[in-house]
Amino acid sequence: MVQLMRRRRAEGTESAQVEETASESKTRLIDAIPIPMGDPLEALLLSNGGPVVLRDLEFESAALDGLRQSGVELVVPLIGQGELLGALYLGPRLSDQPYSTDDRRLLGSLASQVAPAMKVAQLVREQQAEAKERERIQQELQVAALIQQTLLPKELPAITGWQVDAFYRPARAVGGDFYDFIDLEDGRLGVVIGDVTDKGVPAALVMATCRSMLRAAAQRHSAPSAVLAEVNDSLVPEIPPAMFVTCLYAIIDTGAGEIVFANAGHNLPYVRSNGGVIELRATGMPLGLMPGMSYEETSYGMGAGEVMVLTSDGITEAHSPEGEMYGFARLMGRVGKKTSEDDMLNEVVNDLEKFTGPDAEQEDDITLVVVKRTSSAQGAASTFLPLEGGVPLQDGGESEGPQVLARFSVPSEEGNERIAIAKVTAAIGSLALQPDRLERLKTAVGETVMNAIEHGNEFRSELDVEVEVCANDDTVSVLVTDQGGDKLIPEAAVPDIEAKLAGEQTPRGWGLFLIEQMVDEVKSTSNGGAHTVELVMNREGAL
Amino acid sequence: MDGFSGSLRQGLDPNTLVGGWVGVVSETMQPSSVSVWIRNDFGTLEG
Amino acid sequence: MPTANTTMNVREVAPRVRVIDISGEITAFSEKEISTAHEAAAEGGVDAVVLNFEGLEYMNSGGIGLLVTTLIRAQRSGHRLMAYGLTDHYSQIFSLTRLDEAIEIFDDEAAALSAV
Repeated sequence: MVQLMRRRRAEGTESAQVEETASESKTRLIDAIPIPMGDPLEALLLSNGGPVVLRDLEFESAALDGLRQSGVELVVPLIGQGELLGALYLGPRLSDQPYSTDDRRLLGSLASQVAPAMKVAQLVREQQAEAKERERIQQELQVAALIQQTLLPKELPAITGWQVDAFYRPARAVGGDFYDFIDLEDGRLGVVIGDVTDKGVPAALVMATCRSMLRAAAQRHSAPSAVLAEVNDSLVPEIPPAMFVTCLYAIIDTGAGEIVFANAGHNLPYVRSNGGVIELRATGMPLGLMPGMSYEETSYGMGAGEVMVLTSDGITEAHSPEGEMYGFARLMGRVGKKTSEDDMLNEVVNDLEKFTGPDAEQEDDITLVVVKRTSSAQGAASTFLPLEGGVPLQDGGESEGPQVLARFSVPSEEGNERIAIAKVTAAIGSLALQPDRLERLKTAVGETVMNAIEHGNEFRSELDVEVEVCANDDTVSVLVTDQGGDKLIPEAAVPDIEAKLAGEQTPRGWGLFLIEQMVDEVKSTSNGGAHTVELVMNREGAL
Repeated sequence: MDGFSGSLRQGLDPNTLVGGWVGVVSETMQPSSVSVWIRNDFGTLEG
Repeated sequence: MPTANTTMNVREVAPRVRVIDISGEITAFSEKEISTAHEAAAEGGVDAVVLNFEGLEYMNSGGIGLLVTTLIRAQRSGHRLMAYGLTDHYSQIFSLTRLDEAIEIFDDEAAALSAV
């Protein structure tokens, strides 16, 4: 930053500076005329070295003309290390006496003392500016650290049957890591871990904003996915461009032992289960990038003795002195080991310190939250099941009297959208859509069928996703139907739907965003338990 | 003049220095007009 | 959970520049492959990791999410993430999702390398 500020004055930029002097009231101040690099006057002043009487000069020079017009009689160059640093312009003397040889010698001698002093002065000025900048950065870091410290939890939750631990150590430049514990009703505890891109005060401010939004949303919604979706929508207009927040939000039902979480692009949690170490997955875009995102939800039933570890990437991306990265594999391996002390938090931190070596400067904030179920009435076996809210319904239009090209169904299993894409492609092969339109329709079909499998039918393989392909002269339509129609609409989605959709369809999910962009029209209809999304593509410009 | 030489040795900030230079020249030479131009990439006359 | 039909090869093409050749599909199930490949490509510190999409057959929204995760990791490690070999269709998706603002896109490997 210091470098940048110093270099801001472009080389060769000429600028006139008029010096005010109050010492001589009869002296008239005139605008200082620059002597551009390469002007013949510059060469003359450099070769001459001392003051020059303009009257004696005979060559073409814009600077010379200007000086003459301003009534300058004598130019005293300021030369330092062979460069023209500046010049003093004098008009005729008030006494009308010419400048004598002695006068010119004195002026030249003065200038030769000023030039090196200017260099020194400039260095001092630069050093002062740098010191000021260092102080500013230091202050900024203190402010950032203060914001972090003020907002991070001061106490750990104390819950019978559970042990919750947290570790936070900021890097010198204070990154954007944060964590939080939120008290919820009915013996539930909200656990947040997150990381704002960027460092310093900007990151700390976004962290503070995000933390308040999470706290507010956590009281309004019972589903972690709804909390993240709301915070994402609130954060998008607030966050500076190119900044975003990765965040994982988990709700622990401390009675039943179930942990439900949603994840906005943060490191995945590891669980040291009684059957080995598990990575729990839930997908979702980081917060603040784009509105209308949906977040997958995953739940895990914690048995007694099982430990969940949430981390920030300051751990996985720490380097050894040899440049090797700590990495997910090593972290997962470490989490999977059970020692006699069974002190997960310190064991991970110690292992990391051993890896990076004692002299390493910490590259990024390091945050670790460890949740252990110490005892349970049920001693339940571990389960791992993804959950998702349903796709809400709206009444929409109907397409009229088209010719049906294909009708088929696929079971609600992950990956089956590929089958649907292939069958739709085959069915519309004869329509000769333009290749780019065909590609867009294929992507839209994939996303829509995926939504139907995941959100509508909740991966229940006994339920089918039905697909119908039809066309009329102007359009081709693909109708995708799932059985998620009469499912309860998640609370988070209600106001959004009312406000945004005017009865067409819901903007849930990244997938839906893509779908809308890919095709010319998207309609959403419901009929009892069935929910149908219709993708309409104009056949304009067909081959 | 003595004050100005002193400031040259102490190394003041460029503004003061140039101001002093102009002042000394004005006093000793009594010109009808005086101005000074400093190349921008050298002088740190801002602020 | 099905495994992804994805192969990723990492090769070093210039000092501190590695290319990940992606073939097959990028979906939510490619997470292991892409994070392993990216970790290998970034091993020891690099200036840029270049994603070669010439062999990409299919990518969906889950895959886009993974690319964002990869992008975050690249930013954290302090290297650039570049891409080439995208079809017009996937280039359009990159642009719609604003991924192209963060992952620099080039026509081919030579163009990407000359920009490092």
